[in-house]
Amino acid sequence: MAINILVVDDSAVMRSMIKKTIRNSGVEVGEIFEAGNGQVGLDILAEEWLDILFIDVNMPIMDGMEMLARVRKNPDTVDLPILIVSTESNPERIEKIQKLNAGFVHKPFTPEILRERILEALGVLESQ
Amino acid sequence: MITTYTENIHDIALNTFEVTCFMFPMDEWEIEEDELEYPDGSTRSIVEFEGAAQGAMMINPNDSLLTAIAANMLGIDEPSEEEKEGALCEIANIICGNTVPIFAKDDKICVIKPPRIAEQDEDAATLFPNLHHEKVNVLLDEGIVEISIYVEQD
Repeated sequence: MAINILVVDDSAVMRSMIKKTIRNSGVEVGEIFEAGNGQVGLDILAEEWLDILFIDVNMPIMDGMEMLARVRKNPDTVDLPILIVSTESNPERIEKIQKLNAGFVHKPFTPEILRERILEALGVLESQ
Repeated sequence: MITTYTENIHDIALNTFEVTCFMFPMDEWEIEEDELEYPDGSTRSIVEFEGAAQGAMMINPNDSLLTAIAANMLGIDEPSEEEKEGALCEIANIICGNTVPIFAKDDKICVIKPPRIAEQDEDAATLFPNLHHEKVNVLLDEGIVEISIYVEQD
């Protein structure tokens, strides 16, 4: 089944790269939506059927951590699969992300890693 | 074995270029002398950071590498100047984000500021005086990049 994806990142280059890598990962993709910050991401989330979100951490207007917290506060999206994409390596920050029931993709990433994280987030693969 | 800062930065940069741009490392002897085009500083990206480590990183690719970074990241043949600068900033963000924890003094979070393109007359040594400076050249099959890090040390 093809999945609908939302990529939230303030860098147009990174959004393109994530989209390209998802398409190269072998995961069957439906529509890929894009947002340049968390607020636009929430607006798209309210309008579209989405299966998984990719969210950057550092963004203007609304950053990724705030967007993640807001998505989790909404009963309709409390269990929506989410992957945070970042170069972050601070264990506390990563733990905070995991406590909000989101997966983590460390930059740089390969199509194979992205595929694994997507399948884990969707519950197809057991997370390690 | 003691790994130096420059070796760490070199390894992080190589991995980033390999994974993100499908590029491969080269040795100087593998490149013809007339093809050994070192960066002229015309397009450089600066990423500043604070928190557990304080300072800045400057990424300075040669022309052929700058074009190849954008072409490979975006999957297009002829990237625009804007696309080249955007791709360079994203590469700088990834390399800096992975490098800064090496210099972290404690468990605090390293805050990586948004990368930007340096003005032509901006000189990193003037911008970041009195900071420890490490510089490394990375040779790739698509070109050469000079990476400088300026970091506060006790």
